[in-house]
Amino acid sequence: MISGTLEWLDNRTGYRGLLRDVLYERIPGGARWRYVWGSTLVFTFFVQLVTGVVLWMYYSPSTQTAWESVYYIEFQLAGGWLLRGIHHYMAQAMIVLMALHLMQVVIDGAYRAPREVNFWLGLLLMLVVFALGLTGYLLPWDQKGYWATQVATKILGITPLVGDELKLLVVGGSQYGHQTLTRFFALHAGVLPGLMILLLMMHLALFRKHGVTPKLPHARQECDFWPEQVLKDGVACLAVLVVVCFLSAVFRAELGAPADPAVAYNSARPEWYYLFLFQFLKLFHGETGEVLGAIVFPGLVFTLMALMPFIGRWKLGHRFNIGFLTALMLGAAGLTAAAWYEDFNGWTDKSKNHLAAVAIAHAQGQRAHQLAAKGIGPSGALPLVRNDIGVAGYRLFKRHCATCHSHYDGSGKEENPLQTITVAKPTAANLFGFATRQWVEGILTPDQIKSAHYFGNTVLAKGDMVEWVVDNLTDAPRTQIENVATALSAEAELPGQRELDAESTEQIASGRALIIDEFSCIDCHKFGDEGELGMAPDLTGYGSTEWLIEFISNPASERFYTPDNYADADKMMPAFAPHPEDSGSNSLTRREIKLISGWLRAAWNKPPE
Amino acid sequence: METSPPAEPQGRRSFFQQVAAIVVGLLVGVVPVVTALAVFFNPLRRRVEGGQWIAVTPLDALPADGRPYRFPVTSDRWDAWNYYPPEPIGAIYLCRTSETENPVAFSSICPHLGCSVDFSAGKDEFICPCHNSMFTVDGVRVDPATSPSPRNLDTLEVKIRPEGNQVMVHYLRFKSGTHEKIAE
Repeated sequence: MISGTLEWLDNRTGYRGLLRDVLYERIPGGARWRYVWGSTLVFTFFVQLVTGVVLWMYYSPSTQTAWESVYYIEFQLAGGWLLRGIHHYMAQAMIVLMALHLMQVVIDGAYRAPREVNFWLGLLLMLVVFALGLTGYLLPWDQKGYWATQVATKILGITPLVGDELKLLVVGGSQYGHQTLTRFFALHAGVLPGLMILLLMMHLALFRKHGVTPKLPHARQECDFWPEQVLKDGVACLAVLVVVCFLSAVFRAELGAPADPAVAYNSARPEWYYLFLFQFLKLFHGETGEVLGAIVFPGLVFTLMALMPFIGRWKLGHRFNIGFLTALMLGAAGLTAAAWYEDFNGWTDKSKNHLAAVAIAHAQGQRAHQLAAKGIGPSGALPLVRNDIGVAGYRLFKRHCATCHSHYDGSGKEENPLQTITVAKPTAANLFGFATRQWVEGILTPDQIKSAHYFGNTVLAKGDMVEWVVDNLTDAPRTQIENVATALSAEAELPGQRELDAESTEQIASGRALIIDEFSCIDCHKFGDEGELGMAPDLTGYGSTEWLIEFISNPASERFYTPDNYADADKMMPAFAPHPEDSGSNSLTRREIKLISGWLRAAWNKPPE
Repeated sequence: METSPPAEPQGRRSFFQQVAAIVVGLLVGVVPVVTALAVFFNPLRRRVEGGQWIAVTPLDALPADGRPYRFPVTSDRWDAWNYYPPEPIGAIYLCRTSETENPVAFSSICPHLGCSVDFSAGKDEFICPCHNSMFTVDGVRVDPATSPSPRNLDTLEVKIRPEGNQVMVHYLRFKSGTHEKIAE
């Protein structure tokens, strides 16, 4: 019955002949491990097709859904992370295997007559693989992909004569947007794989026509492709698969914070296999330099590679080809290593900046995932991040406050990058933990208030407050200072101190009494109904949201510092929103100031509700 | 080819190689394909939703005159990664004949092919604008023998929530075109 059906099928299709042709190709000199590379490449392409098509079913290319759908695949879809991981790492495996395949073909002289055309097909396939990598990198629409791909399309734009048009065609407009994603996606999932299948079929057909190029044709018994070479190929594919699955599971494919055109990410790097080009471009300067480094030179290298079959006709030419390719590979490896070293050596300023930028990008990515888990509105994940106290507060503080203020926990604990901003030469206080008990206690401790953490680098170092603390608190009992700090800190009603404050009613009462009576802070400061404004900052509601917003808006107002302090106005904190009635002339909006004060109060550093 | 060694050892070695090649080949093929298919089949595992209790209206807003009134059903919802705040997701008819009884709720979705059924006050009947299925105020088909609809209008469970005296409806959808009422 079965044999009858197969007979019928063979009669109509001739499948047995096809199968025989495929499986019983003769391999002169016997099966060898060095012939496996081509097969592993076909395998990786097969895996990319299978995983890619299913990813396609969940991916949604638009600026409001690309990151969001990849987030969904990675974190909410059962098994999605593995699927994406395999696709991510298999792409990189493809590059490595392609390099090995190319080396093997050139070393074995398999590019020479009559296999020239097949060699060229291979080179074209290589370009297609590179283009697949480039287009795929943008699709998650995270900060890294967005900013790294900008470099690639800018390079396209400097192509002589047709650069602008080329760039417009690829980007789909003058700026990145929906149309960039739809274009990149059409290229990545349609045009390029289609081209790849076409070229691959021709490549395989020509390979079948000419057969393998035997390394040592007479060393061993000639054999068939099946089963010995198939087994070797299969084992190699298995090894590739094991490595890729291992990488997918241990180092999950990254998804950074959603792409934000307003927040440049200068430490974005292309995928590692583009790093050599990236590094190479650093050697060139100016517009002509860019054209030379990014277009002319790679073009020449590629042309020379295409000419290899002709150069290789002479014995010396073959040696030249091997030498050239080896030099190319070593050069690329060297440039990659140099790029890597520049970024990750950990002791140059450039590397420190890079490492910090990568750490903060990672933290922002994780924060974005936390926010997205609560549900993404129809306008996408970007507004979630832009309105998040943790991320937006950090960015705003960094831009507007971190010229003078640092913000880091000096206690040596592992620091949250989203709470850590260091300034090379701070000229104002370190605001980490502002208005917490520890922070206030510091300001009441003589050698601390004088230090760079508080007023040391400011004009207030010679002010009345420092003098008073040194004169009056040097010998004051520790518990008194603690109680004052507790009472003052309670004014802030910090979210992170809510429970502590509720437990400390006695200390707070005692502290309040000290502020009013024994220490008589109210001689200069207003505190509740006691004291008057006009001499020193108001302590009523010190560090609360309302207090901070008013302070940041206008520290020179009567409620905070006095005109005396502002005699030396450029050494004092600027007012960021001194015109409540004319918001256009303020340097920060009320919303931004709210985000900054929320960030200072660490109101975000808990799981989002 | 002519110089093939004796067939026996070659054959046995070849047999093991064949088995090994098949096993390895299957393995490398199966892992990516199964991973991809597992993700592809994901919707099958998320099918059961089972409906939800939704507050539709305060009971006082529903006249006890035996006439069905149409109410929108409002709920928040998830669509993959997107969360949508409460918005209309469908409509139901509520009908109550006396102050003492709980109202009856009908889904506004025609059991025939899923069009939205209208209530015609003049005729005192529900009429489906698509294929003219007609139902009485009790949701019973007017002429079961000729009605396109295979069953009466689908009723929904109703309870009254004491807070706010709200009419709660267990909102869910049913399969179209079947004699039996099967929740989707």
